[in-house]
Amino acid sequence: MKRYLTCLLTLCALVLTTACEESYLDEVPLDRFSPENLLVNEAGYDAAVVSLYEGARQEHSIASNNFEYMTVGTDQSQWGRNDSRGNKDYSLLSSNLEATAIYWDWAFKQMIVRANLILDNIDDPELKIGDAARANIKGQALFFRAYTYNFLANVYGGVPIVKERIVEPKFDFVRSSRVEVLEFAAQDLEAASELLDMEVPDGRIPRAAAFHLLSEVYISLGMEKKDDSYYDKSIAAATKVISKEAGDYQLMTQRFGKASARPGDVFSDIFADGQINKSSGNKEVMWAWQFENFTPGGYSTPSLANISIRYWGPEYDKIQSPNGSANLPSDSLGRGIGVNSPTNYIKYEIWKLDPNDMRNSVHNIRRTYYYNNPADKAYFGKPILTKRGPDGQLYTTRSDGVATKIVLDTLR
Amino acid sequence: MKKLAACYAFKCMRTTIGPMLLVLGLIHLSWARNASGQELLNRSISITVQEKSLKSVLHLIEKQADIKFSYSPQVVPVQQRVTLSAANRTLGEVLDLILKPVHVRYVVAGRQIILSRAEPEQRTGAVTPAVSPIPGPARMQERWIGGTVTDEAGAGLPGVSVVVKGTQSGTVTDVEGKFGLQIPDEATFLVFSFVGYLPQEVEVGSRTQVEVVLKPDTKALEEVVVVGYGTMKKRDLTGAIASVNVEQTRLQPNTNASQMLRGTTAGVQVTDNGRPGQVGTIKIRGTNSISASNSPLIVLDGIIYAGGSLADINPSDIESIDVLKDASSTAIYGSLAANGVIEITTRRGKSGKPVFSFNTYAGASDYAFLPKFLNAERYLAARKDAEIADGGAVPFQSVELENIAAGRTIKPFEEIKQSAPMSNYELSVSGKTERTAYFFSGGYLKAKSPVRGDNFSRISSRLNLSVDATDWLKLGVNSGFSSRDDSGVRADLLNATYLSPFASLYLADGRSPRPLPQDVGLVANPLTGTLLNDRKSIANALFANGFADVRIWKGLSYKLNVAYTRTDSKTFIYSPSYEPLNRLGSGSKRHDETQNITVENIVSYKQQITPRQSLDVTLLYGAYEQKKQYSFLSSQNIFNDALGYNALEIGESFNIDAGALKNRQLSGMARLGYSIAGKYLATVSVRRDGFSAFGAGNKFGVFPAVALSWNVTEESFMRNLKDVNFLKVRASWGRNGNRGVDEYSSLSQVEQKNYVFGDGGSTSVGLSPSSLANPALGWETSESTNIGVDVQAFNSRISASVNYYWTRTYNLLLKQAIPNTNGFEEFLRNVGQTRNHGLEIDLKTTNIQRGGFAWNTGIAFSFNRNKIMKLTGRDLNNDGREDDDIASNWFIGHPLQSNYDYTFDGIFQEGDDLSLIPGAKPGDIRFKDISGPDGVPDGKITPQDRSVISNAQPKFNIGLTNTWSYRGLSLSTTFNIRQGGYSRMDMMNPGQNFYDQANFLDVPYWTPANPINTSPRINYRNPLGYGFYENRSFARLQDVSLSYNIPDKVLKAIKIGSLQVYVSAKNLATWTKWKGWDPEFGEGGRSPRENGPLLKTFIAGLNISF
Repeated sequence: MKRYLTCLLTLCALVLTTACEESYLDEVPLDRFSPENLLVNEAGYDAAVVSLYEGARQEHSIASNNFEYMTVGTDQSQWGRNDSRGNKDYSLLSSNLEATAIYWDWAFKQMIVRANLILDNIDDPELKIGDAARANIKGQALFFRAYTYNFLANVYGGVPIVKERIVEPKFDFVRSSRVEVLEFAAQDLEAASELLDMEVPDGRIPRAAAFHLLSEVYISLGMEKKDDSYYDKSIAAATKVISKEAGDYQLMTQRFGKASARPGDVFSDIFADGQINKSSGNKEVMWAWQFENFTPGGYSTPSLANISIRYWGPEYDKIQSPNGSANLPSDSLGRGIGVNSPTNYIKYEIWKLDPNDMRNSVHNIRRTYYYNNPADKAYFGKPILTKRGPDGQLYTTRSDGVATKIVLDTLR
Repeated sequence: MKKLAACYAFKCMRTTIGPMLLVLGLIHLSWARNASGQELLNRSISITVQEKSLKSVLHLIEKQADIKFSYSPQVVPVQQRVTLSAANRTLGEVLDLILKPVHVRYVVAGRQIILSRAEPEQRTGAVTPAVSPIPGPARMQERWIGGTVTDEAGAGLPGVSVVVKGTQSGTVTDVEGKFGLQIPDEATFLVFSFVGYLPQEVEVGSRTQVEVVLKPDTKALEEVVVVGYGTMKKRDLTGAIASVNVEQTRLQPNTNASQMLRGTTAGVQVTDNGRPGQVGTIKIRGTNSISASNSPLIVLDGIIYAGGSLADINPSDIESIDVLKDASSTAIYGSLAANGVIEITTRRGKSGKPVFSFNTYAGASDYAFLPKFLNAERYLAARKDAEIADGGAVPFQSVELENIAAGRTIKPFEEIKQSAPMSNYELSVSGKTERTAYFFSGGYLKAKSPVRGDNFSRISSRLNLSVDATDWLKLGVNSGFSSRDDSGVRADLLNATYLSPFASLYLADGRSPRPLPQDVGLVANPLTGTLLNDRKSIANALFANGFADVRIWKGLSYKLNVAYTRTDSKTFIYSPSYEPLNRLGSGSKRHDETQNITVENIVSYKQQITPRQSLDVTLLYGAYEQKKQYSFLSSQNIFNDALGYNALEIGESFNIDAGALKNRQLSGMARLGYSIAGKYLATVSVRRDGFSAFGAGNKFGVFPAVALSWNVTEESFMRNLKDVNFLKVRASWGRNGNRGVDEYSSLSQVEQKNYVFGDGGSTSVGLSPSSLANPALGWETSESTNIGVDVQAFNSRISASVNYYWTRTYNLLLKQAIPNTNGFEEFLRNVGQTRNHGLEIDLKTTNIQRGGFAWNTGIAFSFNRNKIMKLTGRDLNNDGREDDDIASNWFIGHPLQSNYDYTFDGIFQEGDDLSLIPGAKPGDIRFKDISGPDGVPDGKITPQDRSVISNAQPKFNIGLTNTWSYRGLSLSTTFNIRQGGYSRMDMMNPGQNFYDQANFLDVPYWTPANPINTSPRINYRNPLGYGFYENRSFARLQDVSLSYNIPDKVLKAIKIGSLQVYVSAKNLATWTKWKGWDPEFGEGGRSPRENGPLLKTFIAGLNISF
């Protein structure tokens, strides 16, 4: 008995020992792809292309906690709040600040790396992808790579040009000149404008977008190289769009879509919710970031759609009526948090040129807010009026024009 | 400033050292020193007393003559009144004067004088066997017994207490170890006890003479310590292994086993996170790895507790905890053990008769330590100061105005508080028959944090069974099951910190949470989730370890060890619709499953080769596999809440996430132990491990170790040094691996980045690469050397273990920051080197042991210093010095967790030259201009002015445990002390903490009227992102317990084996200057993250066994 058992256990041990060694430790991921097993067919490549669209949309949101580095501190808008988060002064930018690095990060980490992965092997004849699909995949990747390099050239000037997929970390990147970066972008766009489809589903890059961007890049090149021939190229590229050679696009001149049933004008129609994409009749927008509430992929989290509306509105819900009823946040206005306060230049001065400019209409810039708490019957629906007191503070006023004791927290 | 700093440093010292010195100062040890008896008796003393008790007179004499009396209060009439006037008389004369009248005789033994009852004249002098007892006329039922007590060498032991068992009557032995006393006729046992020796009970029978040999109490040395794949006597250890005093922790309200290690063992740093039932962070000997895991390996009942959590082990089921610290002890676990090993052994049956034991305690908890935020009065004042500083209105919102007007205030941390009871019940049965040993237990623990919604309960059971199936085969199973439940939604502590004293947390109905208690978007209601949402979270864990032990041939045996751990957990969450938040219902369900399978074949051979030499060989071959999988479902906009998370399908926006992971390891190990005469001991081992997550060619690593030790006390030249009972010198070296990286780390991974095309479109799956592959990824390796000394001295009243170690860790698994131009920001590779060195002292002393009273002290002192030696080796700026990695906060030549920042240089006062920092105003922080773009101070604050200014690691840690016991009564206290280390404290700056709309930490700030030089103005924007570093030193009265064992006499009557009642408290008091969250985990931002305020707990408990 003892002998048998000993033999058996020894056998067990032996079997275990000699079973497999190396092969026992082979690692095959169970729940995730690697580029090698993903990029094998059209669907795999398209998933990689979709991630480029997601990356492109992040340009809009990456600075969200700091609220729009691209506008605050410029002549457009200023930091409207009393806390320290927002960038106030471009002259104080230092390498310490996120504002300096965040767009570089975005460009290389979210965009160029994804585009280069697609372009790495898309021309491989072994891939079983139809020619049309292959061209459109390649066109989109080239477009986004060019879009990103153009962005980098405009923000940082010359940057290192990464043309290929990197598989081992590199440490010896060297900046190319701004001209080289723009030329590289132009080259990608020239190719993309041949490859992209003319008619595309909503949200996808159409060929016209490549021509549109190309005309901009040519202008930059013309300025940078002081070579006027680029302006002709730019005109030629833009003409492709204007003449509808690259698709049916035009400036909208008539009101359209569901929004046309509401007070407004054609300019507000172009930006109205639900009618930004071409299928809704909007022929002015070639390509738009897509936001969709309550759908995974609709934004960074499914329950949020485009939340940046709040950056631009005043904190009207912090105001109370002269009778002490607090204003209520409302869906139609968003919950403004007053972080991006338009400058007086944008609010008033620029419009002195032409007060009747459509873009200055009440439908496009809201200057009047209302008391909206129905509990206060006297003020419900009445505009919020203010007056500067002798102490320099801004006070709301009662309907008879007398200042209340309610001070507004305004820019100082 | 300098003076201020010095003053501050002193205060810090005082905070932490004070209580320690207090306790240390009380320790005065009194050991016998040889002095000739006659010389002692000739000492002259002067003494005058009037009607004083004999006890106090003896005490006076002790002081004057610098001697010690040893006596049993039952023998010497201590309350007898004495009147005496003696000037310059010899000690002998004085003793005769006071002792003769009370029939007490004395003998000198060393510096001690032993008092015993003087027997009637005819029996004074040496007690000889020939003397027959003559019963006294008044004590018909008594008889006489005499004898000698000797040590093992045959020398008489003076001062041994001899007591008739079950009574208080007895005597002490004289200078030759002889004794004699009257005992009741029915007395059957005498109990002999003496410090440093094992007590002994001797059956008297009808004897009149007994010879007793007391054995030295080397219990601590004979204790068996669990080492990897076996056990060893403490005496024979070659490595640095610390045994945790588990008994000491039995009375503490520890909700998990990690708390048993907290502050008790040198070199082991446990950070409690304040969450009931959750395991704290354990670090052994500092931080070696930068990016990989720093957690120690847990070994449960001799097998790697793969996939198990300490939280699943009921602390009461634990028999012993041994911490393997040095590389030679841990090297046999090779790749898993670079961060130390904790060996936990659970209880098993010992005695023949079944022992039932029932333990229970109940109590309640409160916050142990909280950051202090502004109260109502200070809040209003600060807002006024803010208006002055801002030069404009900083208006309150209407809800605050209403509350200010009405005088309604809240205390935020009281608002989020719940009553926090804690209770524990457990029942166990254990026993041993001829062939079977068994231990079965079941327990239920329920504990709440004072933070609302932070709840924990655990049901646990354990069955340890072993059967000697034949005389050569032993089979057994050690198994445990636990079900942990931490359902509930913890109140949001981050939001609680924002709460103004004038906030309103509820709507008009007084029950519904008001979404924005201050009407500002910044401040959400900390109770919204707690009050509205439903969260069910349960983790069931099963651990089963079956083994077969075959004795093949003399000393040769084979053991098959198979373990299976399975954890199933589920987290279900439902947020119902809530009109004030304008939301519909949403919910999710997550199921996780983890399985670990371990198979180990162990062959061991133990042989005495020659009478002096012995050999101990262990061979191991093992395979380990871990499999994890999970699935997650969620949906939103659920229109009806009735079914909660069980009807996710009626919602919208479905989200599905499914995942699975697997890793495997193969190991082989050989160990050879060799000993000559128990004097010279050597252990050599080598282990080879392969791990699946490493790159193809680098999966295997080899880890050798060697250790030597010398039991000096076994040498003949030590025989005369009687005061040293045990002395051992150890040295060891070993190499360990760290495989603490996730599965698939060497592969390029792809992550999901979804998008939606078109209005009302559906989800399009996007996939993008998230990491770079590294096919060369391999082992991180630590080489560590340890030298140590173990000493026991003065009848084992002092025992100390001192270890000094240095560790070099290289080929770090380093998440190196790479230029993000690569498309990735980090790259996991084997590069870089760290060093750690440190000292550990474990000291245990018996300060007093006299009569029934004993005072014991345990000190665990340790420090660790660490340094980054090398990173990638790159020198991109060509300055001839390897580049630091500023982005990752790694600086060569500096410790990990360094604080790299500008140097604080006071506050800009009005009228100061502000040109140093563009845009600066009075009240801003002035920084030191230490460098510039050209490497020299340039009159401007630039990024070059940053440097390593401090680091977060402690200078040293001390755990101090004192136990005072008197008969059945015992009082124990444990202090946990941390000295040094600075951590970032963002809460120190109101200017970045929304001083204009929310509450903030009650800190001083500069104003023109109060132009302090230590803190900036209230609205300081902190343009350079300074970190406001604060000292995290603290001293904490961590555990106090008072217990009483009901005497056997009483229990016998009611047939109970033992009964103990106790009260105990945890985290009773904390002394610190740190102003953030608890200094133990030291969060300095508003959010304590996953941590919470530590629990200050009071309990009362009862342990019965029968």
